[in-house]
Amino acid sequence: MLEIQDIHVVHEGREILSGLNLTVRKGEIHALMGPNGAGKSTLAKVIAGHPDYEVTEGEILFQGLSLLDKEAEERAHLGLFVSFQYPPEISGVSNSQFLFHAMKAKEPTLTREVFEQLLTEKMALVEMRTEFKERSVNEGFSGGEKKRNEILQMALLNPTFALLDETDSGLDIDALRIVAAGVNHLMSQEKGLLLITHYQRLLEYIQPHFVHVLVGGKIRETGDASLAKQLERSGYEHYATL
Amino acid sequence: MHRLQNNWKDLVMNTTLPFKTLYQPDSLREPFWHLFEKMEGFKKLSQGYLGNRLGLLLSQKIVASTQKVQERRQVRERSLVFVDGFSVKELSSFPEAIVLPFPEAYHTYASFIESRIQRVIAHEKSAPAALNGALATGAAFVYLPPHTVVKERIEIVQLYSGRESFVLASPRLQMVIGKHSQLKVVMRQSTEKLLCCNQLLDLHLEEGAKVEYVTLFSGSEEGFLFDTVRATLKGHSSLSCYLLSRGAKASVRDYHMELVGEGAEAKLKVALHLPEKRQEQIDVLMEHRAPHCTSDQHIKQVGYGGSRHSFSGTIYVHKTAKGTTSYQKHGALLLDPTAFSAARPNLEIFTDEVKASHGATVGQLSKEALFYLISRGLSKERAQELLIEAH
Repeated sequence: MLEIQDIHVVHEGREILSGLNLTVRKGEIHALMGPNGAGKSTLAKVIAGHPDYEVTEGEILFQGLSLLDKEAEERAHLGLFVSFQYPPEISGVSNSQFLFHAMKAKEPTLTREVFEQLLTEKMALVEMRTEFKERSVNEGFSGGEKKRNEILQMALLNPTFALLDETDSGLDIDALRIVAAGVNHLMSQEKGLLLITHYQRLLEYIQPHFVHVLVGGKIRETGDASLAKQLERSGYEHYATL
Repeated sequence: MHRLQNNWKDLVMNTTLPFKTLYQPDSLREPFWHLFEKMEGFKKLSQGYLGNRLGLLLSQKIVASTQKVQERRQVRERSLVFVDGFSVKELSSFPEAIVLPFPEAYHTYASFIESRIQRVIAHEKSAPAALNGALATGAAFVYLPPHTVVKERIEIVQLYSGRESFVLASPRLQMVIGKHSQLKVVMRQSTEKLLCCNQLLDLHLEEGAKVEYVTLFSGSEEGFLFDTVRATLKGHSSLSCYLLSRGAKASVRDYHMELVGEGAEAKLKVALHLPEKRQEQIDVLMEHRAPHCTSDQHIKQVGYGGSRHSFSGTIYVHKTAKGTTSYQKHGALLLDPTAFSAARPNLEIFTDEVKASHGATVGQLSKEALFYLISRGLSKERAQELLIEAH
């Protein structure tokens, strides 16, 4: 489904990813862990198609198609979804207005009535109150509300592959449970999921098939869910010497 | 500059004959011309941000518009129609109000009109307003009697016939809104190639009157526009002005609102969308003369493609205006480095117990917000539109 082949990425003149390989197949959940500055969020930006990140080598294939020559909106239309670690606040654009345009870009025949029904249904899934429909996108939202709003977008856009960038950071236990339940509900045998996280805690709620350790722009180790528990105890220090 | 000055002088002098024969009495028009002369014409405006564009205007061979064959159809119910700057009673319809051509109005309301004009002349600082006073021979006078609530909006429509040389049109509308009356006005402005529209609205609100005045201008690449609004608000009256404009080759708007009665409220909300090379200058004087009045100015601008905008806004609070509340906000969103915006706020406060503030911001579209929207599948154009609308 998603194949990242030996990518090198430069941002503001500095190489951040240096030959990263990663493959996610249908039905698989992967977790990417690593210390601060390892390049985790850079990977998320590159997959989303952020123009400030330059891929100097390598290839990213999504369902066999190269992503690198595609703009961010084309990637979204192909069924990719990348949640933001720090979703921006957009004053003056209501959540429902934004989401309607996002869905309409993919399904031009969508009517407002059908959309409203869908929105109400998906908001219930992530336990968001209806007042969030008319509030400006992320404006004045708490950390947890912003993350829930990301999962709401994912639920509506129904992507085939989702990358969630530190969706668990800043969440209390209840919010984490709600977000994890939402993600689990959306996951299926036809879909792929990559979770970027610092902590093992999220992985107690969403069970990964694979855990990867990213240090210094490369994947240093891959294992099963037990690797996350091991990292919790040992940290990342010994990878630096590899 | 002298040549340009002379051009205007010729223009007005050419209408000297009509001065004697046209509708508005000379005694009322001549003082405006003297005022215009005293100001040395457009000298002051020409030194401002729109100087170059006004130079283009002033170098034209200009003639004053004349009243031509009128359109036969009535535009819509509840409308005041101006053709080439002349109000046309036959096309207009406003059953709740008394609508009169200026000479007739002058017969009936001479003392009010004279005192009003004297007051305007004593305070007027705008050259276009003075020139309008000198040239507006087809002005309309509207009186809405007390306790008249007009639920339907009234539209002011400006139509122009074809022209071969550069024409200056001078629509002028004087409105008096009676005590506790209510009115919604929509002004549809236009200007086009070979046309300079120099219009003036003089609005007088009696106690408790409430007026909503919306100006819509779809913009013009070639035309010039001067728009003057003068308003006097008596006690507990309320005036809300809204302006939506896409700018012109040069467009100058000048608002002067005087809050003369206790508890009056004035509001001015402006949204400017200035595309390629359009220009728009807005000058506001919010003058608080009476206690416990409220005013609010909020100007938002989006500019790109070398467009230019300047805003100068003064809040003037007299000694007599204790308990004033007055706000002013200006926000510019410049989509590329060639767009220009300048805001000059000015507070002059001569009493205590005043709440007054002003703020100005200039920004660009947030790259992060744009990317966020695009990454959810919106096209770049749609995402930009949403963010601009949100501004």
